[in-house]
Amino acid sequence: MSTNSSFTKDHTITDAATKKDEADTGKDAITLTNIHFSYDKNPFIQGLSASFKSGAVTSIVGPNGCGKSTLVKIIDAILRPQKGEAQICGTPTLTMRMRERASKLAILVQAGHPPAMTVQELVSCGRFPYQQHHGGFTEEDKRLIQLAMQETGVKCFANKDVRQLSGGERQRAFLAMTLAQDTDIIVLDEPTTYLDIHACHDIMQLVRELNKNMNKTFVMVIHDLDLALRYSDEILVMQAGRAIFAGDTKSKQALQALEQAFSSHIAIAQTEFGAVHAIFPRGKQ
Amino acid sequence: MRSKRFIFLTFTSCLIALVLVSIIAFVVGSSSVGIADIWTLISGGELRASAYSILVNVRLPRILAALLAGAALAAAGAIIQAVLDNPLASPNIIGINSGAGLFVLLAASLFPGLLWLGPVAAFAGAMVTALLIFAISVGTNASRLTVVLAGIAITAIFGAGMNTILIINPDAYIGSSTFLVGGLGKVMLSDIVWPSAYIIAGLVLAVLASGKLNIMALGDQTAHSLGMHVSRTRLLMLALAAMLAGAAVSFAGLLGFAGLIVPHLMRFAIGHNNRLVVPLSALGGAIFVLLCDTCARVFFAPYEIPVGIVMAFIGGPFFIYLILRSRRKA
Repeated sequence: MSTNSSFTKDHTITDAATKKDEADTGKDAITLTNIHFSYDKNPFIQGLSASFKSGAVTSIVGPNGCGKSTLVKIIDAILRPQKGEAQICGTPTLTMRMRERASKLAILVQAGHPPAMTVQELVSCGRFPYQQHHGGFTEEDKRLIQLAMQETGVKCFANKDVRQLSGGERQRAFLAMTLAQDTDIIVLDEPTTYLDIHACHDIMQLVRELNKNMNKTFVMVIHDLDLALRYSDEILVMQAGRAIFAGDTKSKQALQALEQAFSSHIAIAQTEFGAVHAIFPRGKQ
Repeated sequence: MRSKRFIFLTFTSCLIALVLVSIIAFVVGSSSVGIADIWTLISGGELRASAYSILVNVRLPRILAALLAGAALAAAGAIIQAVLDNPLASPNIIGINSGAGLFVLLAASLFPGLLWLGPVAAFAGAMVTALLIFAISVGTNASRLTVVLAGIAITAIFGAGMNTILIINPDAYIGSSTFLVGGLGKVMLSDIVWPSAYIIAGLVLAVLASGKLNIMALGDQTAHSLGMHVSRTRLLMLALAAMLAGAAVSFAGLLGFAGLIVPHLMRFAIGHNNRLVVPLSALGGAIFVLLCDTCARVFFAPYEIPVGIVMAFIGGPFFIYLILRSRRKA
C-alpha cells in the first residue's frame, strides 16, 4: 500500500508550511470590503470582509447556502453587491473592463454539461480575453495553450473529445483552460464535486504544483473539509453569510471555527501516511 | 479536432457540389436548354433569344434566390442552435420565420402599394420574434424545452394571424399559399436585390463572429469569466440570425427545415466547432435548398410544387429522428 504515491506523501502539511515563507504575502490578490448582498428581501451576505493573499492557496468553506458561490460571483462581477466592493489587486472589479478582469482572474465554475469540443479547443478558449475580434491565435497564444496542457498533463489527449474523458481528466482539461488564460489568480468553485476520491486528491495536488511552479494564487470553494485542511494555506470559514474565521489553516482557531460552522467535532488522526481529518457531527454517535 | 486536410476537403467538396448543383439547376427544366447554351452565355457568344430569356430571366433569379435563402436560413439555424444551446431550435421552430411572414402579410395588406416594404417588414417581424424568444430564454431562465415550446406557441399564434389576414383580405399577397409553405416559383431579380445585400452582409458578420459561439458553449458563467458580455453577445447574435432569416423569408416565404437540418448534418461531418459549422452550414444550406427547388420544378413537371413542400417531406422525418435520438441520450 505504501507505494501508492497519491496518499503516501503528506503534501500539505510539510509543503504548505515551507510555501508560506516563500509566498509573497505582502499584498492581497483579492480584497472584499464590507460586502452586503441579497437575492430578495432577506439579507444573504451581511457585511463580509476578507482578503485572499497573493501566492497562497486559500479555501472558502462553509455549510450549504452560506453564500460561498455567491461570493465567487461577486468577485467575478456577475453579481453586484448592494453595499461594499470587491477588489482584484487593488482595483474594484466593477470598474474593470470585462477583458481586463479576465486577464487578471480566471474562474473554473462548477461542472456543468461538458462542451462538445476537443481538449485543445477547450484550452484554446482560455485565450479569448486576448484575442482580437475574431482573429486566430498568435504564436504567444499557441505557446501558452501548449504550456497549459503540458502543466496539467492533458497534452496526451489534446485531440480527444472532452465528453469522452473521465471526471478527473475533464477537470484537468478545464484547469488547463484557466491556465491558458494566463492570470495571476485562479478561483475554483467546487473543483472536486462529482470526482472520485483519487481524482479529488489528484486535482488538489495539481493545484499545489501549479501554485508552486507557476506561482498562481488559488482561491477555492470546497466542500470536503479534509481536502481543504490538507491542501490549503489559508482558510475562510463562512456561516450564514458572514466570515467567522480567516487565517492560517493550521491554527487552532481555524478548527474551532469549522467545528462551530458545521456543528461537528473534528479529530485529527496521525497515520503512517500523514495526518487526516475526521468529522463527527455533534449530538450524534 | 478534425485534421486540417479533412476540413479543407469538406469545404472543397461542398464548393464543388455547389457548382455542380447550380449547373444542373440551370440545365434541367421544362424548356430544353443545354450546357452548350450556358457556355455560350458565359463566353459572351450569340445565344438564341428564347434560351437567353430562360437562362437569365427565369432560371438565374430562381437559382440565386435558392442559394441565398438556403445559405441565410442554415447559417441562422446554426447561430440560433448555438446561442440558445438547443439542438432543436431553428428560425422556423422558434417562430422567427412566422414572425417575419406575419409582418410581410400585414405590410402587404395595409400598404399594398409599397413593394419595398416587404423586406423591411420581414426583418422587423423576425427581430421582434427574436427579442421575444430572447426575453423568454434569458428573462425567465427557461430550460431548453421551454424555449422550444414557447416557440411553437408563437409560431401557432403568428400562423393564426397570417391565416386571419388572408381570410379577411385574400388578395393581400399574390401567391399566398406558396408563401406560407415557402416557394421560389415567382421570384424576380428585383425581389432579391435588397435581401441579398442583407444576406451577404449577415453571412460575413456571422462567419466573423462564429468564434464567440464556441465561448458561449462553455456556459454563461464561464463565458463571463473569460471576459465576454454574455447577454449582449447573445442578443446581437440572435439579431444577426433574425436579419438573415427575415431577409430570406421576404422573398422565399416560410421555408422551414433548412435551418434545422443543415447545421446538424454539418456537425455530423465536421464536429461542433462553430467557426467551421457556421460557414459550412451556409454552403450546405445553399446546396440543399437549390437541390430541393430543382426537384420541386422537375419531379412533377409540368406541374410545380413549392420547394417548402419538398423540404418538409425530407425535413419532417429527419426532425422526428432527431427527437428520438436526443430522447434516447437523455
